[in-house]
Amino acid sequence: MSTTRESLARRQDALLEGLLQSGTVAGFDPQRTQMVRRALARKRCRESLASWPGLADRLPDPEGRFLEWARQHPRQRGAGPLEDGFAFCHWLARQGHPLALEIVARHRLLRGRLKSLPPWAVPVRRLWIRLFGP
Amino acid sequence: MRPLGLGISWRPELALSIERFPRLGFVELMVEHFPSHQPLPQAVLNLLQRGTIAIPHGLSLSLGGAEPPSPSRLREMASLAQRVAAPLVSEHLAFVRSPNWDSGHLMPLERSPAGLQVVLENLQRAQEALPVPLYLENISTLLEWPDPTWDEPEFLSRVVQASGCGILLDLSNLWANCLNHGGDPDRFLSRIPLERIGYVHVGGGLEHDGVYHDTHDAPIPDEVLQLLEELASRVDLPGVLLERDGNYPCEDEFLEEMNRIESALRHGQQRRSS
Repeated sequence: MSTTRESLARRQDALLEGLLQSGTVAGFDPQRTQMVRRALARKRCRESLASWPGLADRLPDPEGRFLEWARQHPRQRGAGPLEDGFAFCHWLARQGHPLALEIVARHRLLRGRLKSLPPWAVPVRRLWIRLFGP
Repeated sequence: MRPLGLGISWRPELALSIERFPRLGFVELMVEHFPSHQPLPQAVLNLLQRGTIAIPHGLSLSLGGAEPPSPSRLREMASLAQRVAAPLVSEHLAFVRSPNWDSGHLMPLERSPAGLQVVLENLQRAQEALPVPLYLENISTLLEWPDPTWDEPEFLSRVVQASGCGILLDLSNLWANCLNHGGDPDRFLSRIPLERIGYVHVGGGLEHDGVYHDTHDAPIPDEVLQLLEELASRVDLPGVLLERDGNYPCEDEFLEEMNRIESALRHGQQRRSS
């Protein structure tokens, strides 16, 4: 990578780190930074919940729960709403949420594609998650 | 290139209204929503059969990112362009990922010599990988990099002149940036090469915390339609597309939005010919 690209990479990384984690970016308007930070978090929440239909309907305060999870789990590089929603379901399943438990017991996410587990494997996996966690 | 006419960003929620709309010229297909390993939805195939033009529109190439655009993402865009026999493709003049982070949304570019150099190199790679011309869309943003070398119209002009790319001019984004950062939309139009415009986006948003967010989930603001009329009075626009990504309208509201666009275009064209 050229030095121009390397230094630009550092600046772009610092901007995204500030917007997705620390909340401040040197040289940027602090109020606007906070606005964008909230907007990005809400967008992530909206898209992730939309990727798993039914989940939000059966969860009290789905946005609040998602944002609580998201604060400790910044989006991984390459992860989209499907991956984020699935990781959120793992977190919910560990807390005993029944629909989230069903979601993680029935599905596997491999390289961005959702696979269903064969029906015979689902009860085994459900029991496994109950006993040992996802 | 034949004119595109009146278009809409294709969404499953609007599929029926879109298919029933009689004067549809083109649709935009989000590249990320139509992966090459899945068949195209029947509703999209119906439109293609009718002769509706389809334009792949990317969100995640990160053309202004410090790392070069990913070959697999470029292949996905090229493959969709071939599958729908698209005359062109479009992407945003933005970045979405950095070495350690993925923003999940379009981020503004540093309008500096370094930012320009990197985006031009990236565009060259993208153009080599794509079978049809690439058009670049101006984004709306609340954030500005400190101490920009050029303002937005100047940077956009430099990028398209040096790269040979076309412009997908988003009038709602242009208007939102002028509102949020200060600036005159009419003057913006005077400072970019209007002959490079392949088509135009219009959409609606909402005002919140004293700033305008271009959320694509509300009717188009009157000011944006006035800007469309102004633009149509200056240049013959090949296509205009409505963006609606949420709070989906019923068919009557959808038709009303399309009528408002057509009427603004008509008024602009009349001003030009008189």
